[in-house]
Amino acid sequence: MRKVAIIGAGMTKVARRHTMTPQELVWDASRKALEQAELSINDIDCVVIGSAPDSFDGVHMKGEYLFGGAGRGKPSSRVYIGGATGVHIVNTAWYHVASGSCDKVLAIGEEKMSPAMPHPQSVFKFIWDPILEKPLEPNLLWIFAMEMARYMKTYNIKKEDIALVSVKNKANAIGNPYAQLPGKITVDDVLNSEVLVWPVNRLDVSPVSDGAAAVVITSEDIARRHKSPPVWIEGVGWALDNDSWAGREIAYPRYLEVAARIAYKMAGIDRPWKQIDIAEPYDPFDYKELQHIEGLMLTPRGKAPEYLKEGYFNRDGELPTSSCGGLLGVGNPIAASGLMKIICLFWQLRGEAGAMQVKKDVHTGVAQAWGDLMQASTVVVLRS
Amino acid sequence: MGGSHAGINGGGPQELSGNMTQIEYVPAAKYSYAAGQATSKFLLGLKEKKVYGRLCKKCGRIYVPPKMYCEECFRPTDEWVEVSQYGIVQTAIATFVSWKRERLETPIIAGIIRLETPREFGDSYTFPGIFHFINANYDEVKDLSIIGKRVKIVWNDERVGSILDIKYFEEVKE
Amino acid sequence: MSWEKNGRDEKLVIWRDNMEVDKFIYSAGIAGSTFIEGLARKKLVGSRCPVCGRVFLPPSSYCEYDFAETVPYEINEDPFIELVITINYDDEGELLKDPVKIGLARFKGVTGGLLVRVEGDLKSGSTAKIKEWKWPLTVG
Repeated sequence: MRKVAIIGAGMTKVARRHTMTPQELVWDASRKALEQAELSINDIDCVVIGSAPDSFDGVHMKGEYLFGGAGRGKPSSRVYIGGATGVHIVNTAWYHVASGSCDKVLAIGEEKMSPAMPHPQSVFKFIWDPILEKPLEPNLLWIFAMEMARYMKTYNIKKEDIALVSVKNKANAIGNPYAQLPGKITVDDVLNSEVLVWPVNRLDVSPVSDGAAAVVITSEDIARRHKSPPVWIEGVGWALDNDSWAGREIAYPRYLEVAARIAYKMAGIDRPWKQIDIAEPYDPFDYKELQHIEGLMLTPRGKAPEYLKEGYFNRDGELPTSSCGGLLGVGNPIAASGLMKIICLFWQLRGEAGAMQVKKDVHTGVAQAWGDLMQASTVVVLRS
Repeated sequence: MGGSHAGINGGGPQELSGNMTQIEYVPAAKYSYAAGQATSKFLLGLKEKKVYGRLCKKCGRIYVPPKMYCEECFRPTDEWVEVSQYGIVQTAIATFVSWKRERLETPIIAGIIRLETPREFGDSYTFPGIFHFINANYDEVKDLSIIGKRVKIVWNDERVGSILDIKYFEEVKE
Repeated sequence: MSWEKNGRDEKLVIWRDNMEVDKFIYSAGIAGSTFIEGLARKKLVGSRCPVCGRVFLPPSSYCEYDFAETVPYEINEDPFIELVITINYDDEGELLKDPVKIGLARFKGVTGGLLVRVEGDLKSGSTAKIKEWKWPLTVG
């Protein structure tokens, strides 16, 4: 199989209610990525689009609709596995190029959650089983609260320890020009914020957002001709668990470990806690970042909070995570967020992250996204 | 005529404000879901105050809610079994936001209950678990002491063949 | 091993539910807003690509051929109605008391076109005038 690299990236500002239409968001992110890649839209031979439920934007067959912002007359694939979509966009573009089918792929993630009224949360009501779960009138936060409570009980972790992730990520977002919610907060701010669904407080959660991101992915010979160093896609993996989330031990995401092992094997990594320099674990909630760090086997199970307290995951730490702000700081436009995290790694691995650049020299990074009702996870390993 | 479209390259505010044109649409989709064989029998069983599961004889797993095929063995499950009404609380939460996004004074408590079954499974990662309400007080949820407690189904007096025929799970006082 | 053979319809439960979103509010977007403002001034505002020179209607903020940012461009041509169709039933299948006529309006030198309401007995393949500037436009 051919070697594959990312040579350009772009994203829109992430906002609660964006002025641009979904297509305009896609175009804005795409042209920035193309500019950095020094390619024109007519050079692109294939397009991959990732976007989560049509019922956010309120346009059916969203993949086709969004394609209007991605040029014309090209083969296009849409991917959608909830929040895991963002990383899956790159995994999908990877096999388009690795197989030899395409040479230059424009890979895009977009989400416009704001059109759904009265609140995008209402769309999430569809995630539940209509007969066995929806009649209890749960909202999406219940799922995370249940998982968080189980995680805390199983490994004896306190809310204060978890809140540090929110503090770290929102602070990391300061200096990210695209971020929706950068800011300096404290653990007390998190603990004192409104209790939504115990144990989840308002500041434990990432916001509802609109935004788009895009990358240009090419084959090796095109990447090597480019003036800036490419970032190689060295390992891809993805896995789904069943939909019986109530019948599983939700303290640990086994499906993430499955996906991670596939990606690590491909990248020749057998001791991820030593061989990974920088990580972007999916952080829609603060406890999720810790749980995903453990699922990625970067620390032993239940131990991530201890490492966090010691500063291990800070920008100047041993294994920086969510160094550009993560979802908690930048925002969470569902399908685009995983791709935003990959773009952060892209910048970091090329030394282009500016004010957000991590202290140590980094060459191998892992990005991960997660989605649906405790079901899907996607992993990608990048190297510079 | 030249000029430019306003606000593309940071030339205007990115956040949507009142003066940007907006268009409204009210969707009118309604759905009729078929419960299927397994769920239908399960729901009709709840009406009779019984909890039914499906047994796979090959690996010994009991599925509650029932499934007509075994996920591990990838073969049809073999028979219906009646399952215990007792279980252990796996996790519990307390919501202060209602279905209609209103603030609640007293939280609604719900969680996952691992039902007791006649046989033990090989792996502790999966089990027959039900997502439902728990009748407990907020303090027990807050200090996580509710997790691990043994609970039992309390039935609704009026049952129609719905998951709500179970009123909630309540701690068993030994 | 077997499937249950007693799948009688009366024993199967049907659960009814509805779409959860009350309504959608769409932003018209950058070019869309310029277009709607133009209608208020009784003008058709498309967009022009500075690279290929194509003029788009409805306007798009970018050219899909060159990916370049477009600029607003007023269209002063009369609409040419390429096709007129008559609709006799509503979207629930009920017969309409008064059939509705829809036309595909093209404009000279413009890529794209608009769907418009047609009044009178305008035939396919004729030039028309815009009678009402409320959206959707009415021609006759």
